[in-house]
Amino acid sequence: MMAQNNFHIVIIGGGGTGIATMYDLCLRGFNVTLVEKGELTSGTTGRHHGQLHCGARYAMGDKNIAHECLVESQILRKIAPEAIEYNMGMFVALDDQDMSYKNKFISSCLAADIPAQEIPTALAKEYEKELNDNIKASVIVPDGTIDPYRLAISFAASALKTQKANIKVYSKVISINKKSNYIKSINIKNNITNKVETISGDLFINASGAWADNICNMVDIDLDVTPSPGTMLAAKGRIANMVVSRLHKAGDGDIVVPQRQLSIIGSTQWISNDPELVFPYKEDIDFLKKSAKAIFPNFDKLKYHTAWAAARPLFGSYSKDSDVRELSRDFRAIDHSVNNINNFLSIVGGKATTLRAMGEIISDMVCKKIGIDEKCKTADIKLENYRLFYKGGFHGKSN
Amino acid sequence: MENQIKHYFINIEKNENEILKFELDLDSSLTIIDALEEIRYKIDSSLTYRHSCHHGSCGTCACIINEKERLACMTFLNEFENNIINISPLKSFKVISDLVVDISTMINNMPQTSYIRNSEVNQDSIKPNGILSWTRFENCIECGSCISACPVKNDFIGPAPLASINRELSKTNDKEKIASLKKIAYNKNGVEKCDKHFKCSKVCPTKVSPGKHINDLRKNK
Repeated sequence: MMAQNNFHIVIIGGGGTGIATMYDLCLRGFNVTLVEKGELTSGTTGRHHGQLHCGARYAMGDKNIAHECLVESQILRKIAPEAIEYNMGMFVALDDQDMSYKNKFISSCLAADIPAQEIPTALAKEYEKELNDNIKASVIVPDGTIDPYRLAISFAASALKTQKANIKVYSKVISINKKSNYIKSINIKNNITNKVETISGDLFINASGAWADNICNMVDIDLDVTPSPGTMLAAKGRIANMVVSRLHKAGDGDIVVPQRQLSIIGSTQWISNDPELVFPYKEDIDFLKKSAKAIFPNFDKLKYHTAWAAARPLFGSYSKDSDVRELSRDFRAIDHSVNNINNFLSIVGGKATTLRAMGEIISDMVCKKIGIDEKCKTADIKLENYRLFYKGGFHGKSN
Repeated sequence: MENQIKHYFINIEKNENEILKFELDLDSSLTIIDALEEIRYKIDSSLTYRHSCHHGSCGTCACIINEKERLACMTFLNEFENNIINISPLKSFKVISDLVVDISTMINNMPQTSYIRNSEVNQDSIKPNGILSWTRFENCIECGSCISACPVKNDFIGPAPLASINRELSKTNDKEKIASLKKIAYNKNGVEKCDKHFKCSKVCPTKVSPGKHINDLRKNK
């Protein structure tokens, strides 16, 4: 019998990262319990605007992140085709400043292996008829749209299928029990049964995203995570099929993501001490409408659907002098033995497109740490349909 | 969208015998899901409800709001003039806790259908290499509103699964698949159980019009 069959790993956090980590560890043979204080994907994951990043957006800032997005977007298209509208993406230049960015943008994409291709503006208008007539240049890239909820739940369904996963929703961590340099168990308040339960484990992974510092604080560790909410706005009706971005440095209101019967414009960005109760600013809503109209002149003819906000989990700390956009969208796996806890890891930062990679990196760290040679299998196996998660009872359980 | 703080009375009817009553001041431009978040964070941390996308795409937050099936995230506070809002879990599903229901009874009836369809926008245009047709997700977000609103309660697979079958029939040429979908649709707990109340189409938050799909199935038998 393999050693991992008797090894129990507890994951804190039921967003995309925690769910993908659970799936990866289950495939490697571990027993996994995932605890989530609310519904799965109710923190940040589900509220994502849905862009499947091919990496072009990050190419000029960080070649490695860009390349990783390319690889991950290709893997997700292969393993989760039912959770992706794959219509590619287009970066459009609207003014001279955008134009000055173009050549470097294309060469940076190519350097990261992203097949960015400039096309004539007339062809761009053929692909997307609602585009501004005055676009000066257009570059197409392999972006797409994901259903962030159904993508994450496909990972959860696939984890359940291994029969190695136990998912406890509406279960909030209230304390962590430590003995010398090890975490022995966590206490959770289960809001379905209204009882406090103790969950023991051999190893604990903090995958709580924008809440990761709150969890670490329970064992007196400070984690450099900055909750950074942004407002997104959806209008009724599809104005395009491709994901259309402004060809300039990443900024506010520079991307339109078509999804189902909606057109979503994202996003703004600010810093919050608390990832809870983030609501859209009215000023953001006006700004986003105006930004979308610059790309699609008829955007304001679409009916308003809604606006919402979600807190990104940025890795790093923020000072008043810096630009919040300078904080990395990269992720980090942290072994808290540096903080004198030998069976506690955190996985922080990242973005929706890299959920599977985050699961792989932290699972690799687990295997290395306990001396088990099991390779990641998640890149090669098609995920189960998300519906499987709900078959057979509440969240896969027959109650 | 006006920003106005108002005093709201929110009653969560867990079941016939148990009502949780909350009173709080909220910005009237917020939604019911925002209100539930405020209650959970500031008043009652044990409150349970499903939510994910907050923009009407995931389908998790459907519940009954002032006697109608709605998505909590797409129901704005400023439409309630008397500031009294009664919320209860969807009918026809087993209640797990507070507003959380077990949707497996619907999901178990969903046939194996694809969630991707052709986009209706710009389909006749030239497309980039590698794109055969522009695609998008199906309209049905599988929220359960239609199942809850349907007056036919006994031994009926329900509007959403039948709508899904009719959508799939329009997409596939696979004879075996067509036969197996038709078998489900024309089984005794399928199309013939529908009493044409059209409650499903009235409450559907993404305008799937399940009643129309059921009519199509009836015609094309």
